[in-house]
Amino acid sequence: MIPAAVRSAIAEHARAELPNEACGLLLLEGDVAVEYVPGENASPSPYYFELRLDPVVWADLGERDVEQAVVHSHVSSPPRPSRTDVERIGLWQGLPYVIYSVRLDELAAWRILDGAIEPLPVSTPVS
Amino acid sequence: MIVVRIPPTLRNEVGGARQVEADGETVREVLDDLVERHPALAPQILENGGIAPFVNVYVGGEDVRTLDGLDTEVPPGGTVILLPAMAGGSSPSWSRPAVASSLLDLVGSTPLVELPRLSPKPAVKLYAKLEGQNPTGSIKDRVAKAMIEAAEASGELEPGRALLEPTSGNTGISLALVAALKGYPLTCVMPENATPERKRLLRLYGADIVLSPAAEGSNGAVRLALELAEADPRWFVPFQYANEANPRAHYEGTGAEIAEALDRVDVLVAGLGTGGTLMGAGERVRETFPDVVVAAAEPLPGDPVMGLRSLDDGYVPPILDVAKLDRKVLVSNEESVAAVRDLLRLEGIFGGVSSGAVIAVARRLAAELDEGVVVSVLADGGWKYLSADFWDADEEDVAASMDHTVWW
Repeated sequence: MIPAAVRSAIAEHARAELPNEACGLLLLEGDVAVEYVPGENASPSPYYFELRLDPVVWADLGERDVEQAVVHSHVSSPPRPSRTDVERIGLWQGLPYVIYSVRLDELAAWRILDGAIEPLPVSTPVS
Repeated sequence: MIVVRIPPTLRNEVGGARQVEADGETVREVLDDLVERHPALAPQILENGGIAPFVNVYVGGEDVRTLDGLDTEVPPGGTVILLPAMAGGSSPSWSRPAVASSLLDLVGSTPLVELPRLSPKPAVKLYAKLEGQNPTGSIKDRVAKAMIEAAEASGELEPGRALLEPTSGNTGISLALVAALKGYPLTCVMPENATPERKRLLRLYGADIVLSPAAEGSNGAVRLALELAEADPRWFVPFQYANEANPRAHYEGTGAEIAEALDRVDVLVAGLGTGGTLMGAGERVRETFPDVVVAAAEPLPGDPVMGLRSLDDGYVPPILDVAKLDRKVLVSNEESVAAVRDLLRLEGIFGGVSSGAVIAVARRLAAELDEGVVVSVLADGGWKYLSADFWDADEEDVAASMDHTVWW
C-alpha cells in the first residue's frame, strides 16, 4: 500500500528530474510505504540510473525498523523492469522494486528473483 | 577495532546484526577479517579479489572505489559502511512517444529488422539496427544530443556560447539540428573539397561553414577547428573523437536497445569511425551477452569508405580502445558497394556506404558460425550519397567511381 502523499512525492521527484530518470528509496513498514527518500541519480540519463544517497544517511535509515525498496522512474516507457534492471538487481533481489512511469503516471511494484519478474499488488487509497 | 555497518539486505549473513566489528588498517584487511568472522558475507562483498559489483564500501563517507579501492586506509576506531549498489534503467526500445514535444525526443529507439535474404545460412539470424531512422537520418543524432546535453549539464555549455566542430559528415548535420533547437549557433570546419550537397545541407540546417585546405583532409579540419577554439573562448568544441558522451550515448542507447530487444547476440558489427558505437554499444551488449564478439568494419588503408576511418591512416580517436575490439575486419570499397547494393536489392534497405561495409563484415562473420545471432548497426541511409557514381557503376568501375571525392 502506497499512500497518496508518498505516491505524489515519488511522482514530483520523477518530474523534477526530467529529462532524466529519478531514483530513491521507499521505506516500508510491513506492506505500507511510510516515506519516500529522494536519491541522486549518479549517472543522470533518460535511460539509466545509479542510486546515490549520502552513505551515512542511508546507513542511518538502516537503523530504523523499516524495510527499504528501490524506486526509480522511467521517463516514457511503462513501469516494468527492463533487462538492465533484472541484471543489476544485485543485493535487492527478492525485495519490492518500484517503478514510476512519468509519461503514463503509473506506478508499479515488482519482485525480481533469480532472473524472474513477479508483479506485486499496489494500492493507493484516496485520502 | 573497526565498526562495519551492515545494510538490511546483508543482515541475514551476519545473524541479523546492524553493525559488526572487524580489524584491519586498510579496506582489504577489514573486509578479509569481516568475511573470516562472517563467511556467508564473502560471496556478497568480494568477487575475484575485488569488491563485488553490487556492493558499495564507504570510509569517511567516501566510496572507496573513488579513493584507493581495497588499499584505502581505515583510521583506527573508524567506521566502514556497506551499502547495496543499485543501478538500472528503462527499456529504451520502442519507447518512442506516439506524440513528441520535441524532435530530440525522437532520437534513438531505432528499429531492428531481420535480414533473412542476406544471411548466409538459415540457422544464423542476421539483424540490422536502422540508425538511418533517427531525425536527421543518421546514428550521429544520438551522439550530438548526448554531447550537447552532457556539456549543458556540466555547466561547460551555456547560452551565449557557440558550437564549433570539425565535420563535413553526419555529425555536423546532427549537431546543426540539436544546436538549432537549443538556440546555439554552429560552425562546421571541413575540407574545401567536401561534397557540395553536404555543404548545402549543413547551411540549410542553419550551420556556418569554415573551409580547411583540401590537401590536409579531415585532419586539417581538426587542426583548424582546434586553432580557432584556442583563439576565441566563445567556441565550445564538442569534438566527438574525444568526448566520452559519444560512447556513453551508445552504451545507454544503441547498446541497451539491442541488449533489451534480443535474447541472444553472438556478434555485433559496427563501423569504425570515432569508435563511439563499438566502444559504447559493445560494452553494453557484452554485459548482457558476455561471449559476444564485437567486430569493427574498417576500410582498407587508403580506401576511404564514407564515415569510416582506417586507423592505419593515422589518427586514433582518444575514445577508442582497440583492445576492446574482438575483431577488426578490413573491407574494400568494392566489397562495401557490392554489399550496400545487395542490401537494397534483397532487403529493401537503402543504406549508406558504411552500411555496406558493416553488412559485408556481418555476412563474413555470420558464415563462420553454425548458428547464432549477428547484429549489424547501419549508421545511415543512402540519401546523402545519391550523387555518387558508384550506385549504378559497373562492378569494375566502382573503384574508379569512388576516387573523385573525399568521402567524409
